Formats: sequence, C-alpha cells, structure tokens
Amino acid sequence: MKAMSRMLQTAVCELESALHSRRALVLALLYLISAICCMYGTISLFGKIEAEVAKVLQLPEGGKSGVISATLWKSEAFSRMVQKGVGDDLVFADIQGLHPVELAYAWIAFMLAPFLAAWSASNRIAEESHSGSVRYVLVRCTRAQWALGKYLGQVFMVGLALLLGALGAWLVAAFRLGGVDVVTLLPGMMDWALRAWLYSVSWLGLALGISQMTRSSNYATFFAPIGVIALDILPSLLQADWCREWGLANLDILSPLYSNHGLWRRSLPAVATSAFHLTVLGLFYWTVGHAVFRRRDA
Amino acid sequence: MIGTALSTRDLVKRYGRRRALDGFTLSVPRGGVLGLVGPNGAGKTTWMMTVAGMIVPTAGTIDLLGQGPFDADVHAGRLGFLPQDSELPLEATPAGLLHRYARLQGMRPGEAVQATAAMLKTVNLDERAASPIRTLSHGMRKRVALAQSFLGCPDVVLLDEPLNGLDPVEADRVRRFLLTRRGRQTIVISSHNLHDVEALCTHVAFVEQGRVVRMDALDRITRAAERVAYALGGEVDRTALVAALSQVLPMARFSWQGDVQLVCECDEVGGVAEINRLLLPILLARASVLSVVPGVPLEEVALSVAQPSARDA
Repeated sequence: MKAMSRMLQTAVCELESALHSRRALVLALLYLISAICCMYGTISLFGKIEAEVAKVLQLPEGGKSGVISATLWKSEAFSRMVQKGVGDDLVFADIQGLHPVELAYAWIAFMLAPFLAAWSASNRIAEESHSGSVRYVLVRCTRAQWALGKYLGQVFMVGLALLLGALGAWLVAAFRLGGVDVVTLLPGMMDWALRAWLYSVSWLGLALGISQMTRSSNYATFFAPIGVIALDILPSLLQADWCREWGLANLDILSPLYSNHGLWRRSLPAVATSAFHLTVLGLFYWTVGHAVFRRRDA
Repeated sequence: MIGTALSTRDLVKRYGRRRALDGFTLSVPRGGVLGLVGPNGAGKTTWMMTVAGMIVPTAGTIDLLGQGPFDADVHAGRLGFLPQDSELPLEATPAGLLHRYARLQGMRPGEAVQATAAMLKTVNLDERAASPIRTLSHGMRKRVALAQSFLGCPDVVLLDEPLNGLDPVEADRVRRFLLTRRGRQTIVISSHNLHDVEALCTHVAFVEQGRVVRMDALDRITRAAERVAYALGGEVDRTALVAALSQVLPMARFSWQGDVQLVCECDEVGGVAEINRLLLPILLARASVLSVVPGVPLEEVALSVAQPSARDA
C-alpha cells in the first residue's frame, strides 16, 4: 500500500515538474506544432489533389478541401489502393468508413508518438542521477517505486500532449475543411489520440529504460530516438532468410510495431490485446534499464 | 545515550583497484553527534552514501537502527541525509519540495504542511518558501537541503559538510539548531572545519584511507577534562611560577609551549574547573592570563593522527 502510494506521489510530482519544466513544455509545444503542421500539410495536399481532379473532370472548384477527398476515398479503385498499402484486411475493413482527414491524423499521431515519448522521457532519470537530486528522494522511497512513479508520470504527461495535439489538429481541420461536419471528426481524432497514447506506453518504457542506464542526460536523449528507430526496423530485419533459419523471426514480438496493427482495429479485444502487449513490452524495457539502475551508485 | 544507532563493520567499497572504503568499522552511539574527520578522499562521503543506500558496498555489513542495511521500505522517515554537492530540483519551490518529501516519507498531508513550515522557519527561509529554487542563492539552497534532512525528526541524520557555503550568521543559526538536536537524534557530521566539529560533536572519528583510525568521545580525544593551556602575558619568572603551581597541584605536569603558553596536564583532580580553581589565583597574582583553553585543539589531534604522507603534504 505504501509502495503504491509512493509511486503515485512520484507520478504526480513527475507530472507537476514536467509541467513546470521548460523542456517538457517545449517538447509538448513542438509536438502540438508538428501535429498542426502535418494536419495543415495533409489538408493542403488534399486540396491540391481535389483541385486537379476538379480540373480534369471540369467540375466547379470549391473554396475548401475535403469534399472530393471524402468521395474519392469511398471509390472502389482508391479503396483497393489503400487496402494494398495497409497490408492487413481486418485493419482495412475497420478503417474503411473513416474520413481521410481522421486517418491522416491517426497516421501522424502514431508516427510522432514514439519520438515524443523518447524525447520527453529519456532524460528524466538520467538528469536527476547526474545532478544528484535523486539522492534526496532515494532515502524516502525505493529505486523501483521512484522509477515506476516516473514512468507513470510520463505516461500521463504524454497522454496530455497527445490529447492537446489532437485538439490542435482538429482545429486546423475545422478551419480548412469544407463539406464535412467537423464536429463529428473530433471524437474520432480523440479516439486516435488515445490509441497513440497506448502505443506510446511501450516507447516510454524504452526511454525510461535507457534513462536508467546512464547518468548523462545527453547520452539518454541521443540513444532513445536511436532505440526507437532500431525497434522500428527490427521486424523488417527479422524477416531476412537467415533470421528465419535461426528461428529469430518471432523476436519481432519485442518491437512495439508487433501490436501496431491491433491498435488500428475497431474490435475491442484486438485493441485490448495490443494494449496489454505494449504495456508488458514497456515494462520489459523499463525492467532491463532498472536492472542496471538498482545496482548502480546514485 | 544507550545503545548503537548505526554501525558498519568491515565495510569495503572498491572502484577497480582503488578502495574507497577499506574495512570501515564504526559504531555511532544513539543520541550522539559524531564528527567524521579526515583528509579529502579518506572515505567519509563514500561511507555516508553507502549507509544511506546510495552506494552499493563491495563487502561488509551495515546495521541501521537495528534493522539491517538501509531499506526505504523500512527506514523511510527514520534516516535524514544531506548529501554533498547534490542539486535540488530547480523548478520546485522550497515549500513544495519539502512538502513532497514529507509526504513521500509517509507523513499525512496535515503533518507534512506543519513539518514543512516548521523546517522552513528553522532555516530562516519562510519568506522565500514560494520562490523557485533556481532563484535562490547557494547558501539558501544549502539551507533547503539541510531542512529536508531534518523533516519529520528522523532518528539518524547524516550531514555531509552541512555548514559549507553558509554565511557566518546562517552558519551560527544552523550550529545552534544542531546543538538543540543533541541527545534527541543521532547525527553524523562530516566536516573539514574542526572548530565546528569541536563545537557540535560529542564523538569524533578520524578517517584515513577508507578506514577509521581512531574513534572516541570528544572529551577523551581532546583531553578536555585533564589538560588546560594558559596564555600568559607580562614578565613571568617561569621557574618560580611552575614551583608555586606545583605546590598546590603536585600531581600535575607543567610544560611551556612557545614563550607564553603554559600547559597543565592532570588527570587526578575533578576536571578543568577544579584545576582552574586551584591554579588561576596563583597565575593571576604573578602574570596576566590572556586565555584559558581546556584540552588539546582538535586540529592538533587530527594532525597527530594523520598519516605521515598527509602530514608532510
């Protein structure tokens, strides 16, 4: 009970200090700007495509983007193209009815979440180890309680940033889209932000695992994105013939990408299974880092 | 002072070939104030960090409050620690930080608020309680760090250079505060300032090359009860003076240090007050007494204890 209470207190403090820390605020702001810019760019691209299509079909040009894209998205030819791109029939079936802007946001959120997690969390433990401020805490709670509290605090922090990002992206969509009831897009985009948040849990585990392994904030900040990229390409590498021969192909379960598709599904069991796997994976990365941290001089 | 609050036995901490602690054995009496004295790199800080659970020892045993080595689940709130050269979180405020630490060590919200306010007042920081720590001076930060180590009145407090960086007024305030803790808490102070150690501690341990070379009560170390040095002024007939003093205190040994300092050593009367009662009238009649210093200055003892290499350096 005491352990849980200390962990929660650390998590709350982590969230508070993240909100007071300039770095965390700058990162959250950068994420928000990135989400807004990507959304703006995507809608502009839709607009250009629509203008071209309208020109070819000699239709009157609309002032705002989105009208033709939504129609195009529903066309059979385009659907076949997307189905091939997605590479998973179940996922394709689930996302088929969604507005392209909503999907564009989902893609952006899933793409940016690992990097947001890596940059916001990677220095949190390393920095305090380096400055020595960890010593004031470790006479009051165990290393595991403290580091888990940090993890939990970062999970809240990233969740907040993702929801803000979704709100920012929706505002851009609301201003730039035409022919679409933008209010109906908001719950969908928030839903995707929540899914991206579940996805970020494992990446946060990776970032905090790395943060526990070093006292250098710079090293942690440098290696966390490298870790993200490495785990991103791991499943592709494991498809190589020699990996299959050596029975290594199944190790793709160690990459969060393994559960990425599950989070795109509409079925609750699929999402829950993926969320479970990602949480376990995050705790696994965290535990590997903690094995070093618990034996290291503070 | 009954029993031992903290003891370490044959504690070893190795960094590669170097041994920062090399069989560090020490017992701190409950309610005592122990001063750790030794040159830089002797192992004082490493020992404190090891006792506080920050450093994992290579070998040896630690017993903190009779419950084995430090374990936050067992000792949280019972051990206070002021580490050396450790920054506080810069964006936090003193009040916020102390409250957070108080809660973390198990205090209820109301208790934490009270303890925080009391400690901030003790270290004279109640007016800056809401300022972010990054806006505080070095001395103020040190006082916040000191305040956190006494939060909730822990049984054992380890202070690594507690008065470093404090201005004379604040150092005096902290000294007086520490004196009020004597007998109530067990305190270990590591300091290079031997005057502070003399003023604050009941016991002293001399540390050299990772081990304790001598530990005893301060009185016994400085021989405060059996030795007095009188600094004398004016024309003095040394032989006649010593003869007159020997008549009233025949069991005492008298010696001269330099031109003006007469040292009396006598362990057969009831302490320095009795020696003074017998000798001072004679001294005052024959010379001006500029000062009376009981015992050997700790600095002298430290130099005599120090390894030859350290002394030569």
